[in-house]
Amino acid sequence: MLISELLAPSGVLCALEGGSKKRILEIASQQISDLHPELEAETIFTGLLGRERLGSTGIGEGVAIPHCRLDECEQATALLIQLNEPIDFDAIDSKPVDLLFVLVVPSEACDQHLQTLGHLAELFSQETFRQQLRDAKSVEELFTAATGPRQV
Amino acid sequence: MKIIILGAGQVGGTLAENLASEANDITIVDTDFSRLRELQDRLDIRTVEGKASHPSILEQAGARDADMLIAVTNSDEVNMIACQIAQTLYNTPTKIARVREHDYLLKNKAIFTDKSIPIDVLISPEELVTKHVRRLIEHPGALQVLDFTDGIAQLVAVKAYYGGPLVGREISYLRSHMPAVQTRVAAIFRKDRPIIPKGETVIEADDEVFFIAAKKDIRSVMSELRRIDRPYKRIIIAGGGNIGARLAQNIEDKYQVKIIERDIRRCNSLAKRLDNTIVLQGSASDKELLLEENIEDTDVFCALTNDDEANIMASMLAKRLGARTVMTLINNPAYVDLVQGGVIDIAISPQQTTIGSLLTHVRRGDMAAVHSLRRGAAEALEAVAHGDKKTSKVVGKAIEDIALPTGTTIGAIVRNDEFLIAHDNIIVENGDHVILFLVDKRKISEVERLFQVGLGFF
Repeated sequence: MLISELLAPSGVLCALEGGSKKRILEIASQQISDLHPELEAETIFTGLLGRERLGSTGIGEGVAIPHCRLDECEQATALLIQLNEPIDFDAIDSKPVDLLFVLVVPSEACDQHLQTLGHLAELFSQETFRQQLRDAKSVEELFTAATGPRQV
Repeated sequence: MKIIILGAGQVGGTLAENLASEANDITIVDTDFSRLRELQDRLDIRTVEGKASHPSILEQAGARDADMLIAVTNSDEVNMIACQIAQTLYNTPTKIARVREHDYLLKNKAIFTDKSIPIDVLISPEELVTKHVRRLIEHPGALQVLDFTDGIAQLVAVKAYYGGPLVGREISYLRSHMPAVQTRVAAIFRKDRPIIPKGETVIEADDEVFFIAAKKDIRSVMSELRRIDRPYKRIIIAGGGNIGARLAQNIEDKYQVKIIERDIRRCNSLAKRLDNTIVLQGSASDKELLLEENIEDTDVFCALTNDDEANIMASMLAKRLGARTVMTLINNPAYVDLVQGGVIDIAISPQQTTIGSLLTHVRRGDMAAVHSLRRGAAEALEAVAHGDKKTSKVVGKAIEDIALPTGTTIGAIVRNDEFLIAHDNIIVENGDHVILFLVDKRKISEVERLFQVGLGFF
């Protein structure tokens, strides 16, 4: 799945005041729940936290891809967050995180999600892509930067 | 991790000390300013003065961002309500509370749920200490007995003595001497310094040996390291408080138990509660009383009052008068170092016993049990391996190929409730409980990393 298929313009948060890993995941869960009322914020929050507990999704260079599977989830949902201030995310390289791509997927179709995840990790490993996201000044700019033609 | 500790008492303080050294972000709340200042002088932590359960204080302590709340104030009620408030107002992911009162604990399944009082982990130091003492009584000669996977596997510390068949020999001899028994020596402490055991390591008398085995084999392994201690029978407990009473209740069917309590009213209530225990009113440091109760024929004398000095003095007296083994409850960590291994056989530190169950939840990765050992310098862990060859650094690998930090050994694996000794060629599977021993706690973050799953884990 390409990022443009996953992400809706309403799923982008720009220059968010974070504060902490916990609070960001809380805000993200609430946002996803607002977009998809069939998913409860609390369930998403528990799911994301549970996954983080087994190992941080901070992949380095200031990027994290928190994700989880939920039974209640019918289609893959994503959220792109750009933070004002980087936060400690216990990432692989111990660097603080300021770009997050939150992914909530249905319980089945595991292989497809794994591919999506791999695709995302590769995309975010490109420095130009990260820089474009960081440079975005508004929700529109951020959305365009993420889904724009530059990506393959 | 951002952690708020409520209560700067003995448990709170020890915990802050343990966690502050591990790159955690700690805030501690207490009403006692001088206590807070004392901690802040020593440790890199934040302090907030005030009532631990008040929302404004919790807010000030950073509850909005905290990953974990540990409520260990003196009051059960404050601890419970603080967890409730943290959940309602701040959605705090992990809430741990100390609840002492037995009455609350009796119905804990109904009370402490997300819908009522949302506490994820209940800590009852009295219960932990009682279990700890009980395990020691069940294993004569052991300095420490720790459970993993509900007791399927145990880690036992013993002092090696002359006369034990294995003493003066290489560890590898153990396997040929008793081929049916599955065990592994996890660490040896010689004159307080750790030795990483290899097959050719020779065990010397006076070594403190930590070994892992299935519960049923513990006794046979112990008999290799020292002349077999005959089972304990006669127990005297000094102090009929919470711990003393609970211990008596726990063991009175299997052992001959006497309990010495100073307060006559407490004696009466103990006598009503305990069926097979002899309750004696008096002082545990009364020589005449101890002699009258045949202290010289007593197998274990447990001093469990809430007064360290009284416990130590009574234990020394009991030992002098001929008690076979004395175990002494000591709250002050400085005293623990002072007395252990001298006249007193085993010093029991409630903080040490409690800290492990808290650390289980602080450690990154999926930890099923953590035991803090040797006054916090070493640690034994039970980590659950998750994932597959791609997402895990341990799953799908043979034990010999796992990149363990120095000073760390894998002792055993429990797979589907089956005990497997950690032979080099065993391949770790998803869901395995891996029991590790770290002689140096500073390596803990490397071990945590090892068991964390990679990005591709859903």
